[in-house]
Amino acid sequence: MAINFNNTEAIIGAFNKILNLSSIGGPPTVPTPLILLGVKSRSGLSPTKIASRIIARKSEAGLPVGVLPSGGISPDEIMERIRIEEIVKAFQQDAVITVAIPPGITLTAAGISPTGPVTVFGSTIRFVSGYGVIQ
Amino acid sequence: MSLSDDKRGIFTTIGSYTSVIQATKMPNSTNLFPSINNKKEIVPFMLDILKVVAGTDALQELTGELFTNFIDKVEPQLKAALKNQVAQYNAGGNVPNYFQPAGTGVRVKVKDLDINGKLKTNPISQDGQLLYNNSAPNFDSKAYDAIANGNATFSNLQMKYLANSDEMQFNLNGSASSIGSWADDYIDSINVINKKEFISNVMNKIYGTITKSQGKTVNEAYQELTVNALIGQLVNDDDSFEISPEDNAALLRRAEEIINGIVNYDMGCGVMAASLPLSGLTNLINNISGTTGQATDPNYVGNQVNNTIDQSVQNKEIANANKQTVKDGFFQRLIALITQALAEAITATPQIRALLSIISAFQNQGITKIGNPKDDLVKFKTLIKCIINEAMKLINEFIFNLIKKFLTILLKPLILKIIKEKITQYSGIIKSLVPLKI
Repeated sequence: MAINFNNTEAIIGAFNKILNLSSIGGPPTVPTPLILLGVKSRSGLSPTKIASRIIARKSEAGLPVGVLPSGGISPDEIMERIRIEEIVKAFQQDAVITVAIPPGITLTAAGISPTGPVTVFGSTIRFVSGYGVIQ
Repeated sequence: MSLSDDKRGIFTTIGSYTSVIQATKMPNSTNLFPSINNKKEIVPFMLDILKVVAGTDALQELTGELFTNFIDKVEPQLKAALKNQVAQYNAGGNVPNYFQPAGTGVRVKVKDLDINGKLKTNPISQDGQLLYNNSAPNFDSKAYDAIANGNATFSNLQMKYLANSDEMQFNLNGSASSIGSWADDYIDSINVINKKEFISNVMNKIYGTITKSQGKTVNEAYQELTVNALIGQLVNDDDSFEISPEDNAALLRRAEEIINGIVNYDMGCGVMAASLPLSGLTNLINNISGTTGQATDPNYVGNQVNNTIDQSVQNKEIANANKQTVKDGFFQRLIALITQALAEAITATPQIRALLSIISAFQNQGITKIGNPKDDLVKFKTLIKCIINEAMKLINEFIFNLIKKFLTILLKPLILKIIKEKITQYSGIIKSLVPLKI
């Protein structure tokens, strides 16, 4: 990268560019048939399962897991559950998923013309939006 | 949920909103590093980054690098920058008659040529051994010869000392096809940065050892410091040419300290008195100014420079108790002085003043425009700033690349971790979508 080493902003910008790790490439796209096929077998989000996994991994951070020496439930673990419940609830009830579909999707359509049934081959010509929910 | 749960929910929701609103008022973050608040000075900012990335010992490493890899390789770029900046509208014109070998020449007062009084020092004296490059013909040695013997020749330049007016008269030596070719040949023949002279100059800025040994007066030392301070301002893109009363008092105090032989430095943990004897400085320069062997090893050079701290501090007890802080302050200051010395080397040394003198005379019917060094900084502001910018570009790039090297070492494992994370995530998604266990 060409940097103007007389310019403070340019040098700061160059440091930011080096430190900006978002330039690391993302993973490849998941194959569409696999999504269509596999998504049905998923169990969906479970706050209990997520909270349990986080609490189970507390030991990795050197924190005690389980009931307190007094026999009471750890407030930290209760809080963990509440936190996950609220996050999942927000995902499921508040999140908006918008799918943007670009033009150029090839299609085959069947229809009727004065001369009888016809089959049309073509591609979409507009941007299309789709919606979804997280379960 | 019961009615009481609903009622409780109202209060807890209001409480949570209040809490969230208060939490968004984040406390003002304090700037841990002074360089963040300094808008124009980029070198201190990069030094702070270097300290954060590689620890404070990196400052010693950088000093070693600057005194070896930077100084050893920067000469061609500085010469190219000088040629670019001194090229003028009449570069294609013939060398004027007055500048021809038998002409009246371009005359300049020696005091205006030699603003640090270097040419008063004999090159073979103990001070001169540090100040001059005695291993090859150079402008300064020849100028000293001219003053001592009446005339001398260096490259494409004849020098004649006019004792009555204390002036140096410059004439063309040989022939030149044009003003531009004369200037280019002259720049090619000088040694813009001589390693020994440069390191001696920087270390003298820290300890004042040579200035004291030269027997200068407080006023002479003060005048030099003032010019250097103004050049330092230009390095930091400040062309106000004003020195505040506080800074002025500090320069005068420092001039007195240098002449008294003990300089006081605020090294981050109070004021430390330091004094490096001429023998100590001579040993250091002999050890690190060569162009082969250990003198080219940045670690060795950095260590040798570091050793001068122990040799120079007066109160060993305080220095030992605050060793790391003293060291950090020392190297941070030293690197700032290296940048300043670089700027001076390409704008204020006798060989560059001679060039400016002659080039300005070519635009002024043979009468040089240079005079009082402080006035010249204003008069030639644009030219000097442009030359300094070229030099700062090189040093900034050098420091930047060193930091980049350390950043790469720091970021490499992080990048590998992120890539591994992404692969694991992708593989997890694929596995979760495959209904059958394969």
